Amino acid sequence: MIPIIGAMLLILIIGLVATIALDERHSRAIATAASLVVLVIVISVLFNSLLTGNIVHSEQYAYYLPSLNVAFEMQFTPISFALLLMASIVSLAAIYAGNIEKESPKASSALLLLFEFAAIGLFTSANFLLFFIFWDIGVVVLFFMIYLFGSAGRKRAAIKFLIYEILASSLLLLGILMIYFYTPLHSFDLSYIALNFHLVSQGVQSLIFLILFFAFLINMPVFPVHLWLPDAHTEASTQGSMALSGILTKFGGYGMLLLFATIPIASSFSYYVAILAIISAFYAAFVLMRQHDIKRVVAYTTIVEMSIILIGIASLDSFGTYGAAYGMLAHGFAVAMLFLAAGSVGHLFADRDIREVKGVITTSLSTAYTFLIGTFATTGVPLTAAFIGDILIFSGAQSAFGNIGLLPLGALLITGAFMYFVINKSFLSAKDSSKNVNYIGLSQKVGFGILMLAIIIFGILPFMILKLFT
Amino acid sequence: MILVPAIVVALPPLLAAFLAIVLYNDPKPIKYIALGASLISLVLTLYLFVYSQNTYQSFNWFSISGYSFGLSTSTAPLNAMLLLLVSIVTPVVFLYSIGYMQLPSEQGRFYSEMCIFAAAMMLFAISASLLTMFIAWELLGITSYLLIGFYYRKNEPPNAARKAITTIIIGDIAMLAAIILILNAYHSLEYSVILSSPQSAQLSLAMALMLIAIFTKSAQFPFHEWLSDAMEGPTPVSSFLHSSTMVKAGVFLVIVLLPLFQESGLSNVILAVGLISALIGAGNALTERHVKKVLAYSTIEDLGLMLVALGLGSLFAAIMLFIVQTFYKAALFFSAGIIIKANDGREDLYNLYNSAYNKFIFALIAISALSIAAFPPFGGFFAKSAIEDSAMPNLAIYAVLMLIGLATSIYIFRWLILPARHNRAETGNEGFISFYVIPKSMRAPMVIMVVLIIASSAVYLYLPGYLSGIAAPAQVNAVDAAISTIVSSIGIAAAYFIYRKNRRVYLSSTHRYIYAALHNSTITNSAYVAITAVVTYVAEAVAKFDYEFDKAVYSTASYFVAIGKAGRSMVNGQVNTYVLAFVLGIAIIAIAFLV
Amino acid sequence: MLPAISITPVTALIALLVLFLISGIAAMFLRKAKAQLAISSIILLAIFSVSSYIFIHGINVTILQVFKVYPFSTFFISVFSVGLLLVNMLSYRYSKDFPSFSMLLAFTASGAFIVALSFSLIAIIFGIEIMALSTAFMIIINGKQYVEPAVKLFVLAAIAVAVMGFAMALIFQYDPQLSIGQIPAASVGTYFVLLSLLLFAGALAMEGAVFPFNLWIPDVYQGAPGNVTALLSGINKKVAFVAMFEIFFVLFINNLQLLSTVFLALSVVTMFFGNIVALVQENVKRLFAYSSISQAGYILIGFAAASLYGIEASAFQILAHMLMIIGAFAIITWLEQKNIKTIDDYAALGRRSPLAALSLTLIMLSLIGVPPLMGFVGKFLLFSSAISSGLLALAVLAIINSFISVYYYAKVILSMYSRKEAKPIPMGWEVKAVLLIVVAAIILFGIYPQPIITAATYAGSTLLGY
Repeated sequence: MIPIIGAMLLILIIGLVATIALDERHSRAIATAASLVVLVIVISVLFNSLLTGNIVHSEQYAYYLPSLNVAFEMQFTPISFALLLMASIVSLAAIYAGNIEKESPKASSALLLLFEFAAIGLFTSANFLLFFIFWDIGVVVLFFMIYLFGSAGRKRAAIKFLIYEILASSLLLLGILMIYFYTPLHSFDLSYIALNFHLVSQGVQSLIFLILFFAFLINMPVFPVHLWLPDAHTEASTQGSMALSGILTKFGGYGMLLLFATIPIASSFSYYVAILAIISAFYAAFVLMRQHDIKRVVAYTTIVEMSIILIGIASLDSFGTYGAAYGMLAHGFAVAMLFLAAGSVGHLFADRDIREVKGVITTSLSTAYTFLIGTFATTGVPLTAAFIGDILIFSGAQSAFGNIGLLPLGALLITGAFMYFVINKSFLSAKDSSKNVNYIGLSQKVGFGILMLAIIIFGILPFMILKLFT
Repeated sequence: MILVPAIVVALPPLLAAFLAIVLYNDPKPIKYIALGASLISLVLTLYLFVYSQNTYQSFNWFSISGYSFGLSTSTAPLNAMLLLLVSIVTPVVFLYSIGYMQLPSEQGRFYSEMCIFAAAMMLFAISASLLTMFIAWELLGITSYLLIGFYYRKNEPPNAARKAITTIIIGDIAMLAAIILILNAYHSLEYSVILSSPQSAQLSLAMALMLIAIFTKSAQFPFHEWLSDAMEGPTPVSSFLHSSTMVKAGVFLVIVLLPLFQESGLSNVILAVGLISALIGAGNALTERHVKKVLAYSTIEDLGLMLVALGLGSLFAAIMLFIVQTFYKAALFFSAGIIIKANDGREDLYNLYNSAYNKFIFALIAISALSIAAFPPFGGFFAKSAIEDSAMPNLAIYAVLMLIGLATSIYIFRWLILPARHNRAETGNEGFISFYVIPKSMRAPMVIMVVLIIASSAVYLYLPGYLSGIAAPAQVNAVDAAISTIVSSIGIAAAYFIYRKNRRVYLSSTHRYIYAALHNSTITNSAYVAITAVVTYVAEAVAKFDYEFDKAVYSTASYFVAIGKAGRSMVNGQVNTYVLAFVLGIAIIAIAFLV
Repeated sequence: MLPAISITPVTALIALLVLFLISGIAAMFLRKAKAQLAISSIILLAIFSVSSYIFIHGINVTILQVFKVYPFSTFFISVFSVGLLLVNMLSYRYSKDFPSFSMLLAFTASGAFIVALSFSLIAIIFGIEIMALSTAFMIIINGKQYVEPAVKLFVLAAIAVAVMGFAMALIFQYDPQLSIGQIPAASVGTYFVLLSLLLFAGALAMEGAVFPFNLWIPDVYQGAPGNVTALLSGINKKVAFVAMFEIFFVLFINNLQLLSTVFLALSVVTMFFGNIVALVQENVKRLFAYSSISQAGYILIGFAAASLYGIEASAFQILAHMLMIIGAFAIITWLEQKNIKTIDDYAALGRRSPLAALSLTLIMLSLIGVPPLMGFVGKFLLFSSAISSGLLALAVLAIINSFISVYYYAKVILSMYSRKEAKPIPMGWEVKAVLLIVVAAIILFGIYPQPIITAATYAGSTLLGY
């Protein structure tokens, strides 16, 4: 079998080295090329798996920690492949189109490639240790993305981000170490743990569950540990925001999926998790209503969406679980679109305050419509990928938790209503004065196109991914 | 004959929408493409209507965990009926648009959105499962939102669009919740399966939620106010939205799923909301000055009447009005557009003149008005009489319906008579009233629609056969017909008497309290504002908490710093301190040993 | 096995060690700095090669009942020779009097090697004493203002050695040869043994920068010239841990249960002290002094685990931390000369010297324990050794500590990459070389730690006598 995953990671590393080594002028092109090659590989794997009906694939390389019997083991699973696909598309869009602020192309491209490396590694990890390693790489890279290319308040935002995320990864480390030592035959291997963890005592399971749950909760992020996200987004560059909400929050989501799939005791917590998710969804939706910065608004939609995804995961229902995975795929595209559009607005008007910005459509039609379609996707309009996620998640949640499982729809309602308010106030409205200072380039439009296409293709042809799940 | 999947009817407009986006910067051919596409759809529809009646088709969209989500379509009589209505109205509206939408810069956006709108309604018409229906339902919502806010350069349309989408999204969410409840209860989203399955415990809740969605879509109390604001959109959109698309979707869903609503005990709710909405619509239409808003309130009233019929269980009457209303409302909006265009874009009834200048057009407008006023022998007469007839057993409802009928004749003739005056004071200079500027492409649709209005009278005869097995035909009782005609005539006479010959009667100044009671849209709007304020207040509180919470978390870091400072003071540079620490350390370890 | 074959590499090693000492003394008189750098580097490389060779071949020879050449000692000789090589290179430019420094370095190195090789308590005390003394002189030769830290170092090291001497005397009756063999099991519970153990623990804790015996560390680290601080934290402190291995895991192996508790307590307080006090530091050098205290706390986790796995983890972390801290102090030394000392002074280092900023960032990330860097592997092994010995609470506290530490490292990183216009600072080749070696090592052994782990396991198992 061809070592596809190793090849993808290697291509990204080669791209990274080339980006750093060669002249600044070529940085973006090289990084885009590397990312594109990876995307082509991912898509060809997808098509191949549609033909053969099988996605499962694993690769093993040298031992990492021989004393713990941990190797570099990579694998595709249906859910992780869906997220991998999303990450590779969003990364491509971010690398190619995200650098609206024209920050140092070399550093930003290199960091994004490294982040894509981390994301692909994380989604293909076959054991918890590799998962943790890629997780931490991703977090640190984004810390630098925020700090190096952020706006005025970046210092506070970056350190806040780092502290929250390192708290998450510390908990994660503790959790996986405990899993390792409490698993009968000491293993980090995901499939082995999933099969054998029921042998562990209930108390230990609960403890491990709570530790990992909070780690993933911070990353997703869900109330009450969400505070890092809005600040990080407000200060981060467009690329940083795209990677952050588009991909990094999915680390936590994917981890949460693994957690609920791995630890049997999770089922006894699922009801409380659902309550938390509902509170979080409403909380974020209400806070969102009082935001003025477009990026902050979008940041809070991420919390709403991730809360909804959490309730899907907690349902432990096959609809809910697959819905959560699909919802994350959709949300990755949607939020990347929204942030790319929000970044473009910031660039066009040198301002992102919805009270100040008026008439984006008269300045840039593509930006306005991208934001609009991103909003459709956020509110789960059919024919965008988010709809498939939403219907599956809520179906799972309703059958698991009864009618309270449908409550987050109320939060979605508030979110949607406010997003449309923003659209009518700032995007589809008359321009009051000639405040726009810049124009957006073709590359942004291509970026809009890539993401728009992705969200619609996966909205119209969901079976491409869902077929893998069954 | 070849079996054509019903879904193909929606494809030409979709393709046209795509072409409109592609040709965005070169909009000249777009209008013809759109018209052509809609005509193809019409042909396909007729083909389906003739050769493929009552065909059910289902495509597996995606399947998961052994359950497959199918996109089902059906050309059962009811579906075929709505599809036919949509397919007939669409090309007429597109034809009208050719004359109405003359700015090239607007056409790309307009036709792409209109085509998706039309395609969505066609898909809605043929949907045979809640999933298919919901896709169309949401597409209708968002395209109508875009079309209402079409003139974003003006001040009002963005606000109107926002109001519309806020209402619509409530419905969408309620509908999604209802669909999920039904999915989990019945493990199917097919209409046929749900209708034939034994009732589930969740059904009442699901149907109640669906009813909320229907009320938002069909602009029923208390979600009706968006529809009058929706007049900010271009007139072809209004005529499309009010006649066959969007608002009809809600009522159609009640028609299709009526047994479920009845099982859930929601008939009375439907009846009550329908009556209230009809009264609100009639009252506001009586007092409204905006030429299109009068028609909008009249639509609310018409939809309310359909719901009354459905609440009373008279499916036939409801369907009859459903069909007839399509034509007269489209015609009325076409005429409103003509009058507005001829009056240089003004929209205040009291500020519009000379609509009777062109006698032919005026006659067409008058026929439309007579039809809505339920004057025989036009379609409106049969439909409304049938509804009144079904209300006969309950005199109170009957009386209210009569009152509504009277109001309808008054407001529609007020609407007809006021712009028909000659403009004496203002003739000469600004915006000379000219019906010459009305292009043929705007006149022809009027003619087509009026022909259809007249023809729709025949529906009364044809429909019982068509609906056999679905709805029992309602016979219009002679007494009732007479009463109805008399009421209608009184209304017309009253309108003529009040508004004849340039009399400018402002109810707002002469009868303030009556005006306030009738023109209650301001009250509704303040209620909306109040609800928004409450939600905003909660949001403000939560946002403040979020801010304080953030600060509190941040300040915990200072505790660590304080401990650090205390620790730092241990290192004071004195060797004796260090030696002391050494001794202490030994002592501590010693204690650890003993323990 | 023929003696000729097995003895030869060992003889060569001893010869090289002696040669290194001679070359140092000779340099003092010849005063040829450049030549001395070349010669000492070559000798250190040779020591590294030969000891690695001996290590790989698992040669096990006892010399005169005082020294023992076995994988545990050769592992640390290799480790220390690398560290010494780096410090030597760094000091070439930044030591005021390199030939004199060379001589003192040769003595320090001898001390380190003696401790690593020792099979006798006397040798350990001797080695530690000679190291402390020569390091104190190393500080003084740089000028008068360095007297204070030198004296502090000297006095406190003297106290430690004296205490150790007393501790040694206490167990004389059970171990007349004063060799590092296991003392008789019968004597385990006696007060002599317990008191001796207590005093050894205290004295070695003082040498190894363990709280509360370490309060002098920040003063000395900050007061001493950067290159000497690198030596102190990179080699001297690590030698104390080697001595602890030998004394506690061989001599007092029967008291392991008790020792585990003691190390657990010491580890926790040391980590917390180092990390929390580091939070409020403004001077980068002092910050790293506290950071290395906290790292000493981490290393003690392996002792607390009291298992082969723990030894392996500690040995790995000793190497990792030696590399990281020498790299960090290389940058600090270099910038100190330019009068760049506080965190605020480090502003915009990313523009002034991208290599330095990147290296320091990677080193600090490694110190935090971010994968895939060497520091992560070390911490990971340490934490997992704690859990595998049932000390879950210790692992939790250690993880809390590494979380706290993020803040002060991040402060430095944020300062280095702040957007301030500044002129570039030129960097000497010595610093560059040290940084490149260190960074390459922490990345390489972070991604592929297997050889080091295998070696550390092997060294640990021979220590325990398997």
